[in-house]
Amino acid sequence: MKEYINMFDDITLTELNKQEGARYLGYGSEKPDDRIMKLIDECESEIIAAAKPRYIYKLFDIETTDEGVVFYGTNLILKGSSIKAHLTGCNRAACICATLSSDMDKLIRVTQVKDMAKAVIMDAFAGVAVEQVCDKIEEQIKDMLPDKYLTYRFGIGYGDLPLEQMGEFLAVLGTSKTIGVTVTGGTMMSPTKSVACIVGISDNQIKSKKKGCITCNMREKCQFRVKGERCGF
Amino acid sequence: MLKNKEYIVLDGAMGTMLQARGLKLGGIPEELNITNPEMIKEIHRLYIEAGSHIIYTNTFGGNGYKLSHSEYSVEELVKTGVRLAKEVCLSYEKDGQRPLTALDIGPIGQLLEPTGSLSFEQAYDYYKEMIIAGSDADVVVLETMTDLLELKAAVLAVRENSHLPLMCTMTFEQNLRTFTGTSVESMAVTLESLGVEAIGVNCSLGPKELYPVVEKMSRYTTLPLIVKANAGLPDPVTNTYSITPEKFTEYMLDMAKFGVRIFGGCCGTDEKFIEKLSEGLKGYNFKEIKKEKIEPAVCSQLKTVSLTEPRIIGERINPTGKKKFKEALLNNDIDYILNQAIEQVDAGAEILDVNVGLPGIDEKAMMVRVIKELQSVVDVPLQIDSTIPEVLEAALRVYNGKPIVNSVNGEEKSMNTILPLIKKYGAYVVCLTLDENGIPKKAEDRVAIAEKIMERALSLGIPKENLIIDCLTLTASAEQDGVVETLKAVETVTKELGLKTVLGVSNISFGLPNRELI
Repeated sequence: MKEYINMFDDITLTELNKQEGARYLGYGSEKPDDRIMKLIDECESEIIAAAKPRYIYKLFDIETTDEGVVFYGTNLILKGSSIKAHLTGCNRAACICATLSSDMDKLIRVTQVKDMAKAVIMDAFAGVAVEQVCDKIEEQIKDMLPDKYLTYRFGIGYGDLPLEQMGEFLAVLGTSKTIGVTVTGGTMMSPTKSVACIVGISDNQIKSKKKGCITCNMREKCQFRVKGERCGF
Repeated sequence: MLKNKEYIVLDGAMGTMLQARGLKLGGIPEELNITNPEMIKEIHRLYIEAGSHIIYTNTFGGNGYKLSHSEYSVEELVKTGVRLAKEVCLSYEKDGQRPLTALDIGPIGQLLEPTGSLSFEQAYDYYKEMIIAGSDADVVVLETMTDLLELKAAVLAVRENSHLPLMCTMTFEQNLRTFTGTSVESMAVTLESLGVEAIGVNCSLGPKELYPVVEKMSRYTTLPLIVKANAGLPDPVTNTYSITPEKFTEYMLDMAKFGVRIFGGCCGTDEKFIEKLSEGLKGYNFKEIKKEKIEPAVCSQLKTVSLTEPRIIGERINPTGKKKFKEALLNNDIDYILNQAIEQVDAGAEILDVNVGLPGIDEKAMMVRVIKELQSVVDVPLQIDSTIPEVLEAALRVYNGKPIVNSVNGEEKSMNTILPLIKKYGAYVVCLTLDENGIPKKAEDRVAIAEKIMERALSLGIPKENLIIDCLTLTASAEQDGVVETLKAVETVTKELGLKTVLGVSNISFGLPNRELI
């Protein structure tokens, strides 16, 4: 029942996954041209210089009930069938929030004033950056619990997990006091390059589920889906 | 507050004390004021018996935003919170002395524009609501703040809706900045100029980690300092704070030499910490601190620019004689203005003048909008340039830091309308040496006007360090004598009146017209 809390700013980014960023920008099998690649290189170094990754995670004992998934020691009950399905077989979960901090938002704003095309690329790669931070957090949790099995990370808003629960989720983690992340308009996080997600922890092997579009950040804006295609991830 | 005492002991944590007594994460602690008042009173008693002179009310998150899902109103929870604390304090009254209640106000819980969607004006209203509900308290404390502009909205809300003394503490990380990037020095410079009684730091770090924060802060203010530290850092494995009350006290006392006079504990501390702290302070020998003169400085939230050496003020943000700029203003093309700002900063401007006065536009609305956008995109401090007091006041309210106002002059009307704003908002002000009779030819007449403005400013309580005299450079080509008179005036103003000066030096051939602060 005891909560486990970890909060640091020790994660640094040294390079960004250009393939992933190109995917966010809508490049499937085509590659970006030289001009765009140059802008991508610039964005990568500017993001690495400006972003200040911060994160907090807490581990809770959980239980699935009719009301939803209950997180012991808190008032949080996550709703919907998607999160229940995701956490099947798990008796604990890690609630995570990571951010690149407001310096990242500022860099995007300044870039929007100077060069809108570059700003679009900057925005996509900032998304890549925060996901990479989450990858490192997951590794940390894995190292801490070597004999447990972890699910992939499930974001608030995925499937039928209501985005409206973002505020409660962040309150449980105390993110406004610890890493400076708050909710705006009920559903969006500020600073904008932030991720709020849950990783399930089980004593037994998790049945591998294909991720699919439902879990992707880009599903609303995805150019592949618009064309009736899939990107293959 | 510090009148009769050498030091003040605040209380310890409330949040972690409530969690230890069963409050669940994500719950609203202020509701306990109504659902379990005895628990709250018990915690207040524990701290007073441990030695606290001032206790914080259980109202930290008691604002309209955080309470929007509560069945209780802000007024109910805040008023009750103050009443409970006051009842406990009154019960300890002895020989006309008693512990005091501080109305505890924390951040709203939303980020201000442009990163978030909360406007300055909305933030002000949330704070005003709490202050009116909590008016029975003895003191107001604004704590755990991370955004200097949000804090400023709260300070103005306190000043304009209450007469209570005000303490302000922000939360810093080990890089000496808050999450929003506010630097220790910007906070100190800005809050001192707003007339806050005491400032300092709380939460986030333990006393050992706060040492460099406090050391830096002490170099930028003469105000008494407050430290309300956490019980060290949480141990990632056990989630307990590992520092002992003895060690806590030792590290806290180590900071007294920086001018810390108000001491307390934050997350993870309890009555045992306050007891040890109180004992330690009783035995402490507070030596007289020789405060070196504090460097004069202007600042934005992120950057403090000291005025001890010449500084370059960029003046391209001004529609006078600029067709493109005028068009941009008429078309609401803010990006054009932002680009002008970024270019000037890249070219070496250390401070930017902002003038958007143009017939046909709403200067006040435009100035407010431009200031808000500029300060979210460039780091340098700004100089607010307008002749209209309403425009200046609107800009001064939303400016994040300590700015320069351009300008006041020797005319009665100007001094009467502009100097009170300088006093209220704590800005620097450029003073033009002209009056109803125009610009005097002779140096001594310009100096006389400077002196007149200085006397008027001093009578309003504006320190003379905040005045920057512009002895006015007339077209150098026409009058050689004029140049000599200007330089004579500058010399006299500097040496005999002891004031700072500024001059327009626009014969520099390459594009950027700049003014040097001498």
